[in-house]
This record gives sequence, C-alpha cells and structure tokens, in this order.
Amino acid sequence: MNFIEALRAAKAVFLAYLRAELIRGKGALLGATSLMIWLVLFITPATLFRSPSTSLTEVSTKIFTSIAIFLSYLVATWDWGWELRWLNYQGILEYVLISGRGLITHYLGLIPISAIWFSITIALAYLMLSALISPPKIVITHPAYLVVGSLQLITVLLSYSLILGSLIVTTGSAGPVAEFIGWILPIATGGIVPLINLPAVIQQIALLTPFSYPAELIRYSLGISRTVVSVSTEALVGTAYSSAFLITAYLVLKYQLSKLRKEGVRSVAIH
Amino acid sequence: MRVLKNLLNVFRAEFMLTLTDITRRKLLLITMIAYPYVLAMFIVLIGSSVGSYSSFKLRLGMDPIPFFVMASYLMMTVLGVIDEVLWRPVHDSMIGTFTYVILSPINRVTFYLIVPLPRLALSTLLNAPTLLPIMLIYYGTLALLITGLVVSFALISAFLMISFSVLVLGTFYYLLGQNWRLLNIVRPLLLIVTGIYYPRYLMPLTLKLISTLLPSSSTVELLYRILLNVPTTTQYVLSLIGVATALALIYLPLSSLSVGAWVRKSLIRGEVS
Repeated sequence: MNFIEALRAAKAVFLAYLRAELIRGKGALLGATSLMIWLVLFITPATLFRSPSTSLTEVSTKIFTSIAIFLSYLVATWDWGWELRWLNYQGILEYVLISGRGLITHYLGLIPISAIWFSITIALAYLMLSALISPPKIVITHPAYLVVGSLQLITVLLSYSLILGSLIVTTGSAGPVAEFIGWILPIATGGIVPLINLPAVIQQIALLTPFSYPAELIRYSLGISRTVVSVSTEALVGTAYSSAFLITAYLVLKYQLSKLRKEGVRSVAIH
Repeated sequence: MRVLKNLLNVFRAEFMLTLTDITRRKLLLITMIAYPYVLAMFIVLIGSSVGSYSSFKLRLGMDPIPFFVMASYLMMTVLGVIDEVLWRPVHDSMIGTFTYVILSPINRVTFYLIVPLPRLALSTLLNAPTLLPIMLIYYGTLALLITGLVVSFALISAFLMISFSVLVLGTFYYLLGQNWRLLNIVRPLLLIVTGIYYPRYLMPLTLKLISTLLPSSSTVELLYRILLNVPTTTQYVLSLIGVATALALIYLPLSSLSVGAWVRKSLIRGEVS
C-alpha cells in the first residue's frame, strides 16, 4: 500500500468519525458539555481547600492545567485505547486487520478527531473555570520545554493506549476496568498534581513510570510548579523513556494482534 | 395479592440479574468497591495542590480524606439509583428487550420503581465495609457508629431518589426520546444539585433553591449537619425530614403520569422496536 492510499484511507476514517461522533446528534457539543458538568461536580469541592493567601487566578490556573492533563488521559483511554474494543464490538476490527492497511492508518484518521474534541473541551473548561472561579492565567515561561513536554505526552499516551487497547481486546476486560484505569493512572503518576505536592514514596513511584515526566515539564514550562528532579534531566529521561515506551507498545500490540488472529477475541459484549 | 406476587416476581428477577452481573464480573466488583477511594483521592489531590488541608478543615470542620471518601460513597449509592432508572430504557433497547418491557402486562411505573432496588441493596451491602477502614483511622472507636450513620443515610437518600428518578425518566424520554448524550448531561447535574460534594448550606441561593426540589438533597444536608457539627435546630431537622419524605411521595403520582405519557407516546409512534 502506498503513502497516498494510506492517506486516503485515513481521510475516510476521519470523515466517518467526524460525522458520527462530532456532528451527528450534536455529539461534540453535548459530549463536551456533559464532561464539563462532571468536572464541575469534582472540581468545585476542590475550591474548599483554598487558603485566604492564594489568589483565585492561581487556583483556577492550577485546576485548568490539571484538567488539561486529565483530558489528555481521557482521550488516550477512551478515544484511542477503547477504540480497539469498540471496533471489535461493531464487527469492524476484523475488516481493519485483514484490509492490509493496519491500525496505524486507522489511528491517523482518528487522531485529528481527538484533537478537535480536546480543543472543544479545553475551551469549555476555560469558560467553566472563568465563570465559576476566575479566568485561568496561562503564561508560557519556557516554550522549548512546553514543546518537549507536549511531544512526550502525546508519545506516552499513544503508547499507553495501544497497550491498553490491545490488552482489552485480547483479555475481554470490561469498560469499568478501563474507566478505573483512566482515573487511577493520572492520579498515581503525578498527572493531576505536581509531584512536589505528593509524598516522597509516590514521587519515587511516579518517576519510575514514563507518565510523570511530560506532566512535570508542561507544568514547569507554564510556571505552575517546580520539578522534583532537574528540568534538563526531566527532558532527557522523559524523551528516552517515552521513546522506549512507544517501541514497547508497538511490540505488545504486534504480539497481541498475532494472538488475536490465532485465538480470536475473548468477549464481544459492549460493557 | 396477585399484584404483590407480580411485584415480587419482578424484584426476584431483577435481583438475580443484578447479583449475577456483579458476581460474574469480579473486576467490576473490585472497581465498585474501590471507586469511593479513587474519587476521593482525585478531589483531595487537586484540592491540596490549590490549597491546604487546614483550610478545608477550617471551612468545613472535618478532615478532607474521610469527608470525600464518605461523599464519594454517598455519590456512588445515589448515582446507582439514578443510573439504574435513567439508563434502563437505553440499555433495554441496546440488548433488544425494550419492546418486551413496554408490551409486558406489568405496570411500567411499578417496574421502574422496582428496577433500582436490587442494585441499591447489593451495592450498599458490598460497599459499606469499604468505609470502615478509613473511619477507623480517623475516628477510632466511633468508626462503627459513623459508618452506620453514613450507610443508613446513603440508603435513605438513594431510596428517596427513586420516585424523582422515575419522574425524570418519564419526562425526559417523553420530551427528548432515547438521547443518551443528553442523559449524560442530566446525570451529573442531578448530583451537583444534590449537594453531595459541595454541601448545600454552602451553595449560592439559586442553586440552594433548586436543590430543595430533590428529596435526597435534604437527607444529605442533614447527614452533613450531623457529621460536621453544624448548629441546627430540631425544627430545621424535622423540616428537612418532612420535605424529603413529602417530595418523594409527591413525585410518585407525577412519575406515574410522566411514565404513562411516555409509554403511550412510544406505542403511538412505534418507538418500541
């Protein structure tokens, strides 16, 4: 399959998802609104922790960054990881696999959809925080680190979603498990809260995973918090770790798909 | 007598369905039990990154960790009822049983009033022990009493929410049909207004007024007033109990009307397939 054909296939995936997920039934608007209301439910009580010396803008900015990173994890879990399960449930996975185009083409079409979804939700989050607390103040103090951190985050999340997705399909795990992982992972790896605010044990555990590095770099580049190890180390180790994670994810996916071809899927139920 | 027997049959069938669902999927059971802790951790961590435990304690008079574990437990229990009722037609449609439910001789309102009961009983029973460890750490010998209080209030709050949920079910499906995207907006809104994570007495006036329309918001407020030692007169306590009970009872005939209208509309329009 040549490059042009692959791009054509990716475009077909993109258009199909754009209509089905974002346009039809006002999917983008209603989905993002729902997500925002869920976030209001969980974020508003966090304001009860505010001390009188902390400004509302500071509170709002920190929450906004946490939401942005949490939303990235959500995209990875549900848009990318759960996608394989959904394809399986819809009876499409087999066709994708035997078409010879491979999953990469499918994901090439899917990633722009996630980007649109992410942009809508992040804009709504900004509006929500501005209305409830105060407009978040986003100041990029270190642009280079922001670029490195963002690239690391995309790599790590894509790798995580490929591992999660392939395991979900081959083990037949249920939706609540994916939902649970989607919550616990950003919490335990410093995705939501700066590592400096976490106990030393959790800091050490978080640093052993590839997830903490991009989150720490992004927060540092926005002047929100200091990093627990030096910034250059964060950038170097994080880049090496995320690259290694991507290679591992590719190998895991390859192995799981070959297993899938031999053994079939474990469960076809939706939940 | 026959009606009662029919009700018991529905309850038994729903109970077995729920029990099988919970025991068949062990991982689901584990996640159900762990959820209050995960949600509490999420809020506490975000909260601690924007402020401090002491500020929270000063504002509410309680340590944030047991407060949010307890609130998350309450949330899961109340949400269990809301979800069982509101999602049921969507779920039935997806598995192809909606037609049978609508056309069955059993009274639909009764059916939807019974639907959440088995899961409420089972999840309360299964999740209750998870509260005890955290309460033991923070309250020592009082842990059993506090856990008992929270579990009882969670049960009452969720139970009082049933008739309101059925009213929302009938009205929602009558006006908007099986629109699960919109349903996903209604669910968290109900939880916000109930005042589980953000106590009602701290809410702005408009939200507080809307909140009084939900029966469980009064019981949740009462629980928080007891646990957080908020000075409350006996008259106010009685009014909270009275309002919660009265609303739950008022919503019963209204829910019957709304479900009746929705079912009739579904049959006329042929939306049962």
